[in-house]
Formats: sequence, C-alpha cells, structure tokens
Amino acid sequence: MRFFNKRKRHEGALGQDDSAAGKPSSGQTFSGNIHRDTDYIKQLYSYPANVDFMVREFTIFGMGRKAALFYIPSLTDAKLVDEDIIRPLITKEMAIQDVPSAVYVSAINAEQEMRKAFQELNTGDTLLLVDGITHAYIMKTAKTAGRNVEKPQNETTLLGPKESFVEKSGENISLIRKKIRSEDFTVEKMTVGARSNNEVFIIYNKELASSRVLAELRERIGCISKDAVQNLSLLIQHIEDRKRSLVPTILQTERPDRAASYIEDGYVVVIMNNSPFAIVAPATFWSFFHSADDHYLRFIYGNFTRLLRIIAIFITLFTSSIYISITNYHVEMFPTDLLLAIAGAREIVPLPAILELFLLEIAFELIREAGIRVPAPIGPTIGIVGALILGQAAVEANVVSPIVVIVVALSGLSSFAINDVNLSYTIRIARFVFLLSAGLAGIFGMVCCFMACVIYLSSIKSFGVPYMAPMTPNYKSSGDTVFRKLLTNERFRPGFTKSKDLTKDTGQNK
Amino acid sequence: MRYPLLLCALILVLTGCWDKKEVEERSYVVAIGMDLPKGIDIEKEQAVDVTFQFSNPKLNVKGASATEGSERKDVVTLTAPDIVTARNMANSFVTREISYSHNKVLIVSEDLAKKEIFYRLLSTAIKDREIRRETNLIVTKGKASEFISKNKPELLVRPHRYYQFLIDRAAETGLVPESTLNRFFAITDGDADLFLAIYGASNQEEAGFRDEDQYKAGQVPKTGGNPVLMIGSAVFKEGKMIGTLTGEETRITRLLDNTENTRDLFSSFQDPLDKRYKIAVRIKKTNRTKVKIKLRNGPPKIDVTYPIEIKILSVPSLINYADDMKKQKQLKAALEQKLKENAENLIKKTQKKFKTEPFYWSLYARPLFSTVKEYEEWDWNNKRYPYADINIKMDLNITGFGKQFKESDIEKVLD
Repeated sequence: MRFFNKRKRHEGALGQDDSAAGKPSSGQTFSGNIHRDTDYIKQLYSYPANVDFMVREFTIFGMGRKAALFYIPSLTDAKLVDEDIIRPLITKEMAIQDVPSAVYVSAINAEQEMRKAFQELNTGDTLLLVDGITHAYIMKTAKTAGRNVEKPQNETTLLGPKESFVEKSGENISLIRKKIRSEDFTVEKMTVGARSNNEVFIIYNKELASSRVLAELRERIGCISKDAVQNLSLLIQHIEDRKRSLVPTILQTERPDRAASYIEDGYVVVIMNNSPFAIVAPATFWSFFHSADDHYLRFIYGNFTRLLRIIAIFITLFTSSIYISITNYHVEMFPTDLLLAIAGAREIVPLPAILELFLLEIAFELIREAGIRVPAPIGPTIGIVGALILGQAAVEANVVSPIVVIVVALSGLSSFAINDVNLSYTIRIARFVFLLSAGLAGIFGMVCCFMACVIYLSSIKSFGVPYMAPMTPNYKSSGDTVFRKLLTNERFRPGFTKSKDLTKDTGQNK
Repeated sequence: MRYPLLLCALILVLTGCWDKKEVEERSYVVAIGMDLPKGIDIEKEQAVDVTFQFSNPKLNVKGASATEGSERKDVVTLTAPDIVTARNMANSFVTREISYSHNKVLIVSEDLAKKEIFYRLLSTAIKDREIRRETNLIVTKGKASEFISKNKPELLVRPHRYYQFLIDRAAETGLVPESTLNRFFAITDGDADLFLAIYGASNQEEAGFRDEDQYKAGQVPKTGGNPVLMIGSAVFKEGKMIGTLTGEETRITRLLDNTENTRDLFSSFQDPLDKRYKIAVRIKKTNRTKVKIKLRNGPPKIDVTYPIEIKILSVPSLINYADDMKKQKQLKAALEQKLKENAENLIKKTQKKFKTEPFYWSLYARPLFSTVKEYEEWDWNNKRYPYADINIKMDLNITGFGKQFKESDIEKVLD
C-alpha cells in the first residue's frame, strides 16, 4: 500500500509540473485580470490537451469588457449555454449594468473563492469571468446522461407507487420532495472525497429530525478521508457503526415513498449521485424487516404478510439445524413414521447428515449466487440445471437423501421471502452458524447460539439508537414491530429517533 | 477468523462422538415383551425373557424388498437379567444400537405379571432415559413372545402404527383401560387404588355368545383377521396382577373414573317393552362424575352422581319411542336401572374381591385430611373402601333417536 501511495504522490507532482499551475489554495480569490485568470484556469484544466473542457472568450458590448466562459461539455447542456448565456451577452445592444440581469438562466450566483468556483464547474455548471470583476459568475447548466425513473427492482410492492430512485441526485430529491410539500424539508450538501469531490445530500425534516443523529451523521461523513467515495454503497461502509458486524445498521431503500415516510417519522435520509437508492439512519432491526407493502395493504393483509415474513426468517434460520439436531441427538422427538422414513432414506447415503446438509446448503448458495451473476439470456438454465437436474440426480444417485433436499429447498425458498437484501445476507450466513452449533451440541447448542444472537442484537446500536428498539428497550412509539396497528392507532413517531414532535395526529399538535 | 475455522475442524473430528448417533445407526424397538424364563427359578435368580420387535425402515428404500421369508426376522427373544441390559445382549446378533425411544408397548405375560418380581423388573424402566412414560402396558394371557410373533396386522405395514392405532381406538371405545407406564407408577406408588392394564390374548377360546362388551381377551367370537386381540383389563394391586375385568366392566370403570375419558361407546340394552330385542345406544359422559366421600366413625359414605347422555342408534323391536313420552320414560327408567345395576355389581365385586377400587377415587378422599400421615393411618385401601356405603345416583338423558325418528311400521312391512 505504501508503495502505491508514494507512486500516487509522485504522479501528482508530475501533473503539477505539466500544468505549471498549482491547485488553488483555500481562500485564493479571482484576481479580476481576465488574462491571468483565464491562463490559470486553462493550465489547471490542461487546456487544450484536455478535450472535455471548453473555453469561450468574447467581448460583452453592453459593458465594453472582455469575458471568458468555461464549461465541461460532457456535463453541460450546450444549448442552454448557447441560447441563454452567450447570445444575450453578445447580442444585447443596450448597456448592461450587471451580468445577472443580462442572462436568461435561472440560477446564477457570484463566487469569489477560486476553489469553490471550480468545484461547481466540475459538476457541470458554467463559469463566467468578466474583466475587472473580482468574482466569477456561476450559472446552473448541469445536465448529465442517465436513465429515466423506472420501476423498483428489489423492493417490489403490489399496491405502492411504481417509481424508484435513479442515479441522479437531483431527480432523487425531487422524487422525495414531491411527497413532502413543506418548508421544513431541508437538503444539506456535503462534499466527500478530496480528489473526486463527491456530493452527499443529507435530507431531513428540520422540525422532526433529531439534532443528535444529524450531528453524528455530519461528523461521520466529514471524517471520511478518502480521495474518492463514488456512491452510497461505499459511503455506508465508511459511516456505519460496526463495520465487521454481521448485521446491517444502515437501511438502503430504492423506494422514494419509503424514504419520504422515514423522513416524516424523523429519520435522516442521505442521497448521492450515482446511487439508485437512499440510505436511512438510524436503522433498527424492524426497518429491515418491514416492507413498503405492509402499510399499503389493508390492516389484516399487511399483518398476514408480516406473519409470513417472520415465519420465513425462522424457517431459514432453523430448519436445517433442527433437522441436524433431531436426527443426531434427539431422535425421540420425531414422530415414529417420520423417523423411519428418514432412517430408511439414509440407509444407503454415504455421508453423515451434517456433511450432507452442508453440501446441499452450499450448493444452493452457489446456485443463488450464480443466478445473480449469470447473464440474463441464460438465466433460466441456472434454475433448471442447478435446482432440478442436480437435486434429482443427487437423490437418484443416493448421494443425498431426499429429506435433506426438502429441508434445504424449504430454507432456501423461505430466504427469498425476506425483502431486504442486507437482512437476507445476515440470515443466510447466520444459518450456517446455527447449523454448526446444532452439529456440535444438538438443540442445546442451538439454544446457546440463539441466546448469543439475541444478546448481541440487543447490545448493538445504530447512530445511538438501540437495534431492537422500540421492542427492547421499550420506547414510546406506534408499536410497529412484528405486527402493525391500525393506521388510525399509529399515533406516535418512534421515540428512539428523538424526534422533536412525538405525536403524528394533527389534532393533538394544536 | 481463527475460531470459526477451529469449530469447522471440530465438526469433522467430533462427528461420531458423544451422544451423536445418526438415525440409521440405530434399531428402533416398537414392542418389548417380557416372559417368565424357562428352566430358571425366578425366586432364586433374577431373569426375564425379553422379546423385541423391531421396526423395519427398509420399507422406505426403493428397490429393497420389504417382505421377509417365512421366518420373522424382526422379532427376537433372549433371556437377560432385565430389559435394560437385554439391549446390549441383543447386540450380539443385532448389529445396530438398540433404541427404546420409539417403543410403543410393553407386553407382559400374565404369569410374570402375577409374580412379585414384576414390579421390581419394571421399576428399572423409570430410570432408563429412553423408555417413554407413555408406553402402554399390555398383559397377555399366553406368552408375550407369542403375542408379538403371532401379531400380523392385516391392513398396516408398520408395526408401531398397529399398536398406536389399536390402543388409540380401543381407548376411544372404552373396551380397554388407559394403561401407560406413567399411570402404572403413579397409582402403584400412591398405594391406594387399582391399576388396570390392557388385557390381550393371541389364542382363541370358546366362551359362547354374550353382549358385545362382556368378553375378556380371547373370548370374542370371530373368524379370520388378526389372531391377536385386546379387550378388558388386567387388575394390578400393589404392582402385582390379581385378576381381570371384562370389557363391560372396563367401560364402567372408565365412566366412573374422571381421569380417563371415552368418546365412542356403543352398547346394547334389552328393550324394556319387548324383551326379545336389544336396543343399541351410544353412551357419552357429558360431565365429570361427582364423588362425595363422607367420613364417619364407621365405614365412610360415598355418594356418586353418574352423568350420562344416551343416543338411541337402533330399535329392532320397531317400537316408536320418539313419539311417545310415556314410552320414553319407561325406556329411560329401564336404562337407568340397568346402568346402575351394572355399576353396583362392579363396585361390589371390587369391594369383595379386590378390596380396593380401580376408579381412582382416593383422589377425593385425600383432601379430607390435613396431613398425609392421617390419611395413611385412615387407610382407604384395605380398611375403608371394602366396607364403604356407596350410593349411585344416575343422571341420564336421552338426547337423540337417530337420523330418522320414526320407526317403520312393521305390520305394513310384513303384510
């Protein structure tokens, strides 16, 4: 690592030699002399060697001054620059008092400090220097290529809105904002990555969000000392509570409606460019367990899906380990018929039950992993070859017993009912730990393992909020944990977010 | 990272250690038989003939033949000091570890059950971890080994299912008592009541025709089917068998005893208006039997209220009971009379012959004393019950007359 660092530093030095212009130090301002500033900027951006940089020099007749326009064509709406900036400045015959009154673009502001001006320029804005003026004009002309708003891929719902976040933060913010039409909705911008200057947007409701969580979040983002943090998936790993832990402590969601409802509950949402999702902090176990549909479906239907999901979690965690502990240690727990069926099937199987199960569980995980990576056109093959043929052949060849195939298929299938990607990984990996403890000490081992899990879960925190809250420790909340209440009875925001306004009912606020 | 790896390694090393045993490495016994050993004086030396019936998991394997030859290989008999050590002795010719954990029944020959050693032999069963307390105790008329080997269930392949279904169904019809080991130990250690065990037989004997529940095992007139049958009960007092009860007596016991219940009790009674025919009824106990024991200077007074619900199933005399309140009253009185008589006869029999009762009524005597010592000195078992003054009050209701109320008009039919 040290070797690379050295090399990087060395290259940096080279680059400086080429351009013969050092990076602007903080606080360095524009000189007002257009030739000096233009030359400096040209050198900084390696113009004309750098093709993706435009300089347009002209004279503003209305002011009788020279001017220079800088922009990055790949990030800028060229038509906007032509029509709304250059044309009025060149063609206007009347005297121009000040630049903002002469151009047509909506957002324009003056910036004295060079470093900040270049940051804006790097995001696709246009920089205008006018001779004799000691600040630059920055005009919002950014336009990047990207896809349109599409349907959510991972968090599908039956009755919820069908739009998901895209890679452009501006659009993402608008997707959230259109659900919360309030002046309290606040978007803060931070920059991370010393070299690539990635923008991070912190979104919250200033009347509801906890100042402690906000301060903590700002501090953690501010502490990142990396040259580049390209997107949210990477950002999470810099700011989460326990980086080595099996359980996730920051929620990722690709649904703007979910992000909006978290903001309304006093959580803080973070968005970045290039990430088609938002992150929510703090996150509890329940935010991973819940899905958007739980509240969009009617009370009973929603709770029914919750019930199915919690059953699915337990089946995924425990079926294989229970099978192992009962067959190896507690045969008396089986009904006699089932026992004889298993014993008969195992009669000609060569492996001990635990190895048999490990083998199949790993095979299933392989199929699953391959299913994600496989190119779409040959996707169905994985299912057919992997699951059907392999399973069938393994049983026919007496390598594994059919009951083990059932056990593994059941736990595998149930793991698909867990809606959150991170939680799904947690449970799938934890399953192997349970399998191991069941193989070592039967149900006794499983109980020990389960207790350790419960103790661990109730000990960890996400941004100062206990992970199992509001179940334990108990907070004032709407009790939205395993099951949810009627919407009319969900009166409180979760107390653990330390929201400034605890009640959700309008009547009680007044 | 070191610890998970270590644990993984441990699994490979330790597989096969401790208690861990794969399911196919055991043989599952479904029935244990106990007989008096031949040629050994049981008074001088402890020994017992133990018979095992194994379950055959091979039935499940595709391509493996489930049928055996003429000789039954899944039943073995050996002479051992007791049933626990017999397990290891059997391993001289059975290759797998023998497991009692799925044993359904313990079958004991009448000869052995009448010996004092029987309770001593059985008490080892409490200590063994694998023997289930819900194992049923069956006493057979002949040899237990014969009972097991003759038993060829006609509709069921798996022997454990045979025992399970047979016992479940027999308990529903009330022809045999509830006789788990747990109850056996509880009653015997309580030292006050009689324990009833299921009475079975594998040999048929002539007994003539009687009412449907007045048989004992071996006497039911039948042809074909499985030679093994169970009806009635063997009576145990203080861990030793002292007599038998017929199916009918067992049914009455179950009705009088609140700790057991019966669901599907079909019985027949003489038609009070036409003595040639028998009315078939379904008897149901609706409430708990009320037992009130009054302590007196002399023998105690016991008042028993016996609540019964009756549904008429068939009236071969074709007398129209459903329409006629008067006839109904007559019928009710006759049924009450008969049921009361039966119960009284049974109680008299237990008072005189067994000197204590099989109804678990000591439960109602115990709360009358403030200390155990007083209760034990009072001595329900031998001193009180045999001389007690027992009053039975019937609480009988006829609740139904079958799917069709009206009987067909016999005169028109025969016309």
